[in-house]
Amino acid sequence: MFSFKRFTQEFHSTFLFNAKRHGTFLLIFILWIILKHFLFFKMGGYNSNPDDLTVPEFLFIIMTIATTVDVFSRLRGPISGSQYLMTPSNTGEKFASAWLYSTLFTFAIITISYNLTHLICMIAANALNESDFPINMQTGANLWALFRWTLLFQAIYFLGAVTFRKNPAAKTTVALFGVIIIGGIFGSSVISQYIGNSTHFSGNLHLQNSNDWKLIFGGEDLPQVIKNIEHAIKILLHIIPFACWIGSYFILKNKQV
Amino acid sequence: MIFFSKKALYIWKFQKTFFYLRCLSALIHQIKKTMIEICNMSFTYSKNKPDIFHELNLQMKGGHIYGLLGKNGAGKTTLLKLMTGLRFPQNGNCNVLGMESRKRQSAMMEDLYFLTEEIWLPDTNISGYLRMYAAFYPKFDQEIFERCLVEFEIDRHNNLKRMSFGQRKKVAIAFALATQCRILIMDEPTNGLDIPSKGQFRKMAAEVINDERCIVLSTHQVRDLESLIDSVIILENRQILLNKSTEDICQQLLFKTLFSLDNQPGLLYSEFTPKGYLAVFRNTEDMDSKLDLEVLFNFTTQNPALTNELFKK
Repeated sequence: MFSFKRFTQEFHSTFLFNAKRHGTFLLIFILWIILKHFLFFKMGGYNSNPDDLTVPEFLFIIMTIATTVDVFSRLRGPISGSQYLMTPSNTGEKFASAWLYSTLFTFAIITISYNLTHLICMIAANALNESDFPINMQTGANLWALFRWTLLFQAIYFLGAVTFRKNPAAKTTVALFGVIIIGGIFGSSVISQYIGNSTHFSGNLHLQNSNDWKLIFGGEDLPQVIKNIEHAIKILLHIIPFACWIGSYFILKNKQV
Repeated sequence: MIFFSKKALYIWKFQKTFFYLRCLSALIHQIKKTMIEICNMSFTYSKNKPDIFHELNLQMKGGHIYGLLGKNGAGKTTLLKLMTGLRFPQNGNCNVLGMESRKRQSAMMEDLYFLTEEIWLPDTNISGYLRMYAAFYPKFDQEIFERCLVEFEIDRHNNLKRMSFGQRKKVAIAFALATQCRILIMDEPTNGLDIPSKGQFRKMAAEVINDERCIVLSTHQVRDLESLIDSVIILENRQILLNKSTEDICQQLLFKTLFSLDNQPGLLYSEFTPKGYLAVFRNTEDMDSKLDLEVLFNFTTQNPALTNELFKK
């Protein structure tokens, strides 16, 4: 039976085990933010656009991946794996504590660290430079969208961390690229049957910020099959995290060392 | 039966009921005392390889310190992993404290500690280690842990990663004993310990054993643990070759050191050493002798059929 006491003990243990290493990642992250602010105000390397000071989304994702692959690092060795599996807590408690650590806890720590550092740097810099740049925090809808993307990557690397004993980050990345490439080849071969030649498929990469796929196809009426594929992809993006988490739970339950 | 009065009849009925209740109680007590039970267990690492174990049956009861012996590759560590749920058998089952070991339920693991041969400890000091793991064991006794550290002469402020292998082993043994788990499974516990520490380990292990607890020691270094072990399990050729208490073994076998093998009736086995011949005889005259685990191991593995015949169930 799930015990909240054992769950908190397991979370505490996971935190203590990873505190030093992830604290170092966080320190590098904070120093990078400070450096960015320093360059913005002192070196004149930006076009005075305060949006240049926001943290790229990919950094949130990278930090999440870095912490996620570590939550099951003890499973990489037979001896440490023995000790981890023999710790008196159920699979559910181990899973829940690892999940909480690598999702909500990590995301909260990164967000708070960014916002606090940014706030302090901007207040100090505005005071020293007698400027009046706005302080743009990571909040609200922007944060929620970012959190959903980090959950997607967290789930995939969570599954990789519990599956692969050696180099889980690299192997998961290779597997992910493999799936994307296969999916891309399949998708493009299906789509090209219906829309023929298009400059959007000339081999150039477009970075789209919008979820509206109609932009990609030039606003034309899409064939029903394309709409179905689009709909299916959206559903799949929501299902993938849950599928990965469920898979992770059963792999952890049946883990042998 | 003829009863001269109703009173006599009732007394007889009461005595009969009381007798049956005593038998039932003894049976329940025997069942309860069984701490580890393996039934028809078969295991292999790969379908293409032969079984490590084939329909293995084994019971371990409370109040005993079991010595698990076997040649390299016999499957001692694998057996310990099957008992602790770190490996799953292909057939049969292994129950620990009445629970299936493969399910790794927290209730089982709170009363089962597995000390591996190689020791892994996190990159922290002893206090940090206790903060991480002690709370998982409800019966963890800080006093026992501190006492063990003092006896082993371990400085609790040192970082665990910077300690030598022997020092880390001592910390792990201290932790294992302090958990007060009912079942302690130790793989080569004296490997890496210095000579004084081996004696201290024997003393500490002897102090913790009682009817409610069971210790399983897998070892090649039988000389270190000879005086501690009271039941011997020998693994050979996918099966349990011998599973008997030291008392039973000494009732059947006599261990002697001889200067000559001439005219030695009843000699079952001998091996030459610089100090003379270590010999094993059938103990027909119920004499006492000191069990020599090494000689016993060599005798049983070289004479499995004779061993089976001598220790028929």
